[in-house]
Amino acid sequence: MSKIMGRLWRLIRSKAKSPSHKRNNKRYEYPLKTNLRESLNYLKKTFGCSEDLITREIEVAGRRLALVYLETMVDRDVIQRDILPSLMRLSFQGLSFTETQLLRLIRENLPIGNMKEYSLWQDVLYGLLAGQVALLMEGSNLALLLGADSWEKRAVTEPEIETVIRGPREGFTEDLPTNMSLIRRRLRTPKLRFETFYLGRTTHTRVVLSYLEGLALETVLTELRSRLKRIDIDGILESGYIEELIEDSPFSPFPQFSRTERPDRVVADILQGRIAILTDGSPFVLTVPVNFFTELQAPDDLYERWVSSVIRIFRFLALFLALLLPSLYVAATTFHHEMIPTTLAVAIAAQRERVPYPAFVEALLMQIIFEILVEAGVRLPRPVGQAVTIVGALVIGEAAIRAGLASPAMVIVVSLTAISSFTNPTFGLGTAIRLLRLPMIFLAGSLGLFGIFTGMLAILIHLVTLRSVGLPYLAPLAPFIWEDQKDIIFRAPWWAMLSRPKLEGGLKNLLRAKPGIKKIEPALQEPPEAEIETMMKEGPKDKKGPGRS
Amino acid sequence: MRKTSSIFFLLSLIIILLLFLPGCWDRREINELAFISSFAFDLEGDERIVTAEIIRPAAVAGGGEGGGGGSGAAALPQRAAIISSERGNTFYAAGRRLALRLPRCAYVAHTTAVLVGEGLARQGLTEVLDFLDRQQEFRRSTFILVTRGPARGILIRAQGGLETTLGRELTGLDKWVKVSGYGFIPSVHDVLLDLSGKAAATAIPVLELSPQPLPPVVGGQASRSDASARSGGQGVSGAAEPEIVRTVRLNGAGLFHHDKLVGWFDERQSRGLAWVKNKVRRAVLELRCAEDQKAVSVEITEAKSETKFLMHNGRIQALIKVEVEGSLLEQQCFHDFTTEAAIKSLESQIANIITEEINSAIAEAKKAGTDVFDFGGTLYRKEPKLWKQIAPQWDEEFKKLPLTIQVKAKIRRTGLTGRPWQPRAD
Repeated sequence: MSKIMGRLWRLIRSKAKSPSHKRNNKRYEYPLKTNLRESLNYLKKTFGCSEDLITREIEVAGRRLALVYLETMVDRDVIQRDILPSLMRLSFQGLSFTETQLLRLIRENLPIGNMKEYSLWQDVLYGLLAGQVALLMEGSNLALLLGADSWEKRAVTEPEIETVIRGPREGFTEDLPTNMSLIRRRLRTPKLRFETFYLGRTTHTRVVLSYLEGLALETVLTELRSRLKRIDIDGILESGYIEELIEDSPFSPFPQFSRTERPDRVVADILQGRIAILTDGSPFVLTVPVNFFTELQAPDDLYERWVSSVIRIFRFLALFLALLLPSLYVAATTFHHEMIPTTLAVAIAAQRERVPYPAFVEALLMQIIFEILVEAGVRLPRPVGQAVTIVGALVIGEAAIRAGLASPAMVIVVSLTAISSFTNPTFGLGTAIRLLRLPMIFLAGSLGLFGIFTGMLAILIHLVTLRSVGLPYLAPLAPFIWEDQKDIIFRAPWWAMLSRPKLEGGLKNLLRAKPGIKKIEPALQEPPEAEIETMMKEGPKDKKGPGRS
Repeated sequence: MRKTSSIFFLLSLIIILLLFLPGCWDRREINELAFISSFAFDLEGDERIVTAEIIRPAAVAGGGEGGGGGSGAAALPQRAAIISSERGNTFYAAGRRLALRLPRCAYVAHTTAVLVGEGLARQGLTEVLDFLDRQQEFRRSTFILVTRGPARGILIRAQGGLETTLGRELTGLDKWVKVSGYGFIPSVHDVLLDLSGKAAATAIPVLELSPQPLPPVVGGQASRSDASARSGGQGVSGAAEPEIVRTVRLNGAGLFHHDKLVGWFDERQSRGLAWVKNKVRRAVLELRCAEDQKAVSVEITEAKSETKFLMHNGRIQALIKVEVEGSLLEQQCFHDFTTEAAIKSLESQIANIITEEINSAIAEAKKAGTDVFDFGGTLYRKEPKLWKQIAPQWDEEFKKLPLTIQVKAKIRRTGLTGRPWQPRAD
């Protein structure tokens, strides 16, 4: 037994310590040849029998050109309506050009915005895979990549999980450019950065860091970049892969990244100095660094008047209920009978008269039934879902009591717990609470309230030591920061939100807004032109083309 | 690496085993408990008798589940409890012998009342208080009452009224008995405080059975019509004999000197005590109309008293000042009480009645030789030096303590009407 455990442990450890950083695939890192035929052959060989690789040869000004693209990734209209006619119109009789001259001519005459020259196969190949059209020329060792990408995408719809009463209804889609535009549209400042990474040896997934230059903590950014660069995995299909690969404590049940489908939430986070991680192919965007309390903040809290954010207190309460209610019930009915009011104690005793199991087993049983029902509810196809809920309600609510498997009080406890565990706005904490609930019931069943408090102490100690990209997880509470209490229990009114969170936003940029009642002092207001000027002086940074890795 | 893993494994194994092996040692399922609602403690010869009223949860919950639940035949809700009695040389021994007949674990944390029989009370409360206070499950907030005669007689024979158990009945009584002004139910804590105070005396209310016929017999006529109505409904031939139902009521109090029962207060005297000890929340006084001796009732809505000590010719003298406020609730005569003179006459009557009640109580307490008013304690708080001199012979001093009672009564309101309603009053 001990041997098996040891081997398992070593397996986990060895995986975590794997030192290989070979993210860059060196296989395609050699330059293009001048011979067009050879190049085309090479491409055909590389893509093998994939039928969607199209090569279209054409002669312009006496020189053979070839358009190469993946049919499945490009907009045919652009090729047939814009690129081909423009190229064909370029035949000048009798005139001959050098390769450079012709290339320049083409560049100036093609009605395509995104156009780049590359000389490495690697760039050309990934450009093709990103939906660009490669223009190869006889006698030139440069390839022109033309942006014509287009594929089927889902429309921007309302997120189904994170619903709001008041606030924007847009949600992220699986398409990265769409998601970027959703963010950019809400943050019209040149300081917004999109930093691209390509992760996944095989999937070569585009991952984008989005943050406000000068606001996001440089140390966190550096750390995040280095962590992203160290990712060595064959595929990234969802942002969850990234989260799991780069989080601080992989064994913690608590989420150290916040995930959301809502662009407004991401923008709010970016404005706090957080960094968003967008992943191509996933509508879930990660934001980091977060704290425990972010998970309890619903988007509505920001949009509704601040008074109504007091309701957040009930979210805290529900969190405690979801974690502790079954265990408190078990502890009270098996150890601390004197805590229950006499009438209730007698009533519970009467209800339990027909239940053969101890309260602990009863709680465990009902909890397991409930978890199975939840899981079934998520997995089942929609038309069957209704049936499951009916059966579940009957099984848990009615039949279990009739059959003498559970007492009505226990059903109330379990259902209240169930409802409470779904008040969590992002479901990030929900899973953690669900996981921790069972151990808490065990502790309550064996040690009573003493066990519950031991468990709570362990959880608290863990939370205090937990970090999210290096920043404390219990942040404005555990290193207590008085100024940041304004968005914890309830949100302070916007006119009182004078500073950004200290940890995420850093100490610079403390001033966030002036009270709406006060007059704006002109001296403090920086004209936008000056801002742009400083931007220009610094020069555009990180403007990498989409085709480069 | 290998070492860390085995240590990790061992540690987790130890933690898991620690949870499950020693845990649960005092685990008791709630449905394995016998909730004892009230106790009766008696003395018979040398033996202590413990009688327990144990709640039957299934009967309390009632409804379809428990089965039982009498049909229309039982007009009176019977007590949802069983009675169990055992004897032994000590209370603990007797109580533990209950286990011989109980299929569940006796549980006393929810016990609401303890009845102490007369014999035991005369011998001394010490052992009862020690038993209650030492046991970890008992609460000090448990009510304590005395009975005339053996306590178990009441516990066994009481049939219950509105509530399902005697314990609950007494909880309710405690809440509302203050409205009558006739008494209050002390908790074990109160009694412990009183007895360890300077006066070392206390008064504990008396619980007695009050048999009442059901259906209530008001007069021959009413009884017959009621009976015929019943027979019409249920097809029972002949007039139903009213059966006697034994409910409980508070009646007066037992006076304790140190821990021994030495005398009794009747109802009025216990209210006299309540005036002095500031325990009256509400009280109704019956007054007389000046002209035709018809009755008028006044409700006292506020009562406040203070005891002072004066030195008079080298002797201490107690002065009890009572201030009450009330309102006219009911009048049988047609006298106009909206005039000041009329109100004044009522106020002086109130003062007289209260003075009389207090006087009567003090006389009884002096006769029994026990300072249930806690004059000793008051004296100690107000004149500690004086108390120091007197303390050793306080019992004698109390018996001949001269007292003056000053009652200031005020009638504030006359209800919703002023003058009484009369035919053709307009």
